[in-house]
Amino acid sequence: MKPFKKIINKHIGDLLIERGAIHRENLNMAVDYQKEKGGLLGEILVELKFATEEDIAHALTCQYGFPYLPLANYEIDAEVITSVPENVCRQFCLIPIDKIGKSLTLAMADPLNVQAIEDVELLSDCSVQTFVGTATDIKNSINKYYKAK
Amino acid sequence: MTIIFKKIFLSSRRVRSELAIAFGLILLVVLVFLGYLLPGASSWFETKTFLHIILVIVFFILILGFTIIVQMLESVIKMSRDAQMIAEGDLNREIEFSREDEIGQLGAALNRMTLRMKENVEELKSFSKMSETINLEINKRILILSNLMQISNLIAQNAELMQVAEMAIDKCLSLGAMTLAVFIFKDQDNGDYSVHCISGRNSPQLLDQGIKNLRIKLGEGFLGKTILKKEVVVIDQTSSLSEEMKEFLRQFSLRNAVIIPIILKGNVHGLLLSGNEEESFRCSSAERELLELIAKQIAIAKGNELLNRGIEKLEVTDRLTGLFNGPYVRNYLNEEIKKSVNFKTACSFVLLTIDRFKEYHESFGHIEAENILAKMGSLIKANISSSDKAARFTDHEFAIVLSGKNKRQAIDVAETIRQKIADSFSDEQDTGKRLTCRVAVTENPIDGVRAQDLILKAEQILKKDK
Repeated sequence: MKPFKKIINKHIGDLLIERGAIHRENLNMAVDYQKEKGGLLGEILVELKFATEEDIAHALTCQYGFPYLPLANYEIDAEVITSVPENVCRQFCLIPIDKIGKSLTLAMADPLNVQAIEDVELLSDCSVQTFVGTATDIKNSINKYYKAK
Repeated sequence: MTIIFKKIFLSSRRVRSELAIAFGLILLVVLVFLGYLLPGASSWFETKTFLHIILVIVFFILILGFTIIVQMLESVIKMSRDAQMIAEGDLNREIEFSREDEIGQLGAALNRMTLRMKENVEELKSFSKMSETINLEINKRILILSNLMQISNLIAQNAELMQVAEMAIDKCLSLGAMTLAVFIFKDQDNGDYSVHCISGRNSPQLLDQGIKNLRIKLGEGFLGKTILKKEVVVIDQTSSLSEEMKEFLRQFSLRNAVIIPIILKGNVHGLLLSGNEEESFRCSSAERELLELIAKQIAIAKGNELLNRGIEKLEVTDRLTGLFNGPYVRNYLNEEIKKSVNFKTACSFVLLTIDRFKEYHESFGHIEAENILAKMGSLIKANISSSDKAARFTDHEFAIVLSGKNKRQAIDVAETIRQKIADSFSDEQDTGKRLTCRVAVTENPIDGVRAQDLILKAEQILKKDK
């Protein structure tokens, strides 16, 4: 495991509070909602209109230095798409965007999801680099590229 | 005193006067004879020249006297003979009496007595017939009760529903006037009703005609509507038949039928259908009562079956190892996968099998093999976290569901357990007892999105490793 992954175990909710994007009450409500219905905390915060997807992406970028990638205008190579199965992408809300040798780049709604990164590394036998993308963009891209496949 | 005199002089009635005449005549004979024998008694009898005349007169008087007595006695003798015949049981015999004297009155009195006796005997006979019918009815009820007890016993022994239904059908046919009995039950898979058990005279033909393929939908057709109404329906000679009823009777080759819903907690779980082909049949209340009782017993048996199924579902642990059982862990894995999909996490499944377990079982026996399984169970339980669930999956296979753990984390857990098992048996003197095991790890989402995908893949991995 890479050393930096150990560091990024901070909750995205706490990160947003630290940055002043949401209040503690908002976070508590979102956590309760998540317990009830499931889903990514970031997505719930957006759904409950406590934060925007861009707020979350921005927070992750500033805090951990994950680069933000607006997927809407990004073309993904069909071969890259085959390196991660569709159900893995949907479950962890991620999409492979580039592959150079043994290095695979992912766009993730939650780049703090270490389990997801480990799974992709196991599947692709590549080391993973992560970009932040909004959940909506990633879902749209999955629909677009995996349908095409 | 007067009464005594009346009795002595025999003068009040005709018989007595006849007797008086007869006795008078005989007395006269005696007097004539005494006159003749005692010459001094009367001058009439002085000469013995009148002997022959006197003898003729005496003889005549005697005959006359005897004739009167015989005539009187003859009717008494005849009456006595008739009375004897009546006493022997011929109550239809009547005593002839043409006389108006005491003998005639005696005959009339005897005839009246005979008539009264005859009436009493007739009455007794009708009572006896009534009590015979009552006895028969009582016997029948006792028989019904004992048969119902037999069904109850079977239910108490927790017998299968079909076994109870078959016995109930036999009782339906043997106790009543029915020639066909059918149990229609609700199918668990689609909610329709169909024939599950049939017996009786026409059952082979009905089975050949495919009666078991008949699907009864709630509210459709005569039977479907009967189920919906939850009411007992009797079709006999008194019923007016609708087209649907006629169609139903034709379908089951019946003229008369009694249909009783099998109701449990307000829900109709089936129907008891019985019937016959008699032309002028009228279903008695006793017959209907019997069928209703049988239907109630079947409802109890059905309730037991549902309870048993519920208990089986509730049983989640394996008695030998104390771990969860296979069916439970399959369901649990499915639930955990759903959670993982919702919470965007991973969920892993570990399948562990003991190497050479069959050989071990054969060499060291059943008890030793069970001890090994129990020990393995403890080892597995000791090496998983409280959020993970372990189960005895099949005979010598164990499963672990690691919710929230991905494949890498699951491999760590599985490898630790495998190593611990190998270590705990490595000190055995007998090499046959140095047991090892193999593990396979699968994960959602990598290996599938359903429990069966993960299980199948794990089984394939173990098979490949063999």
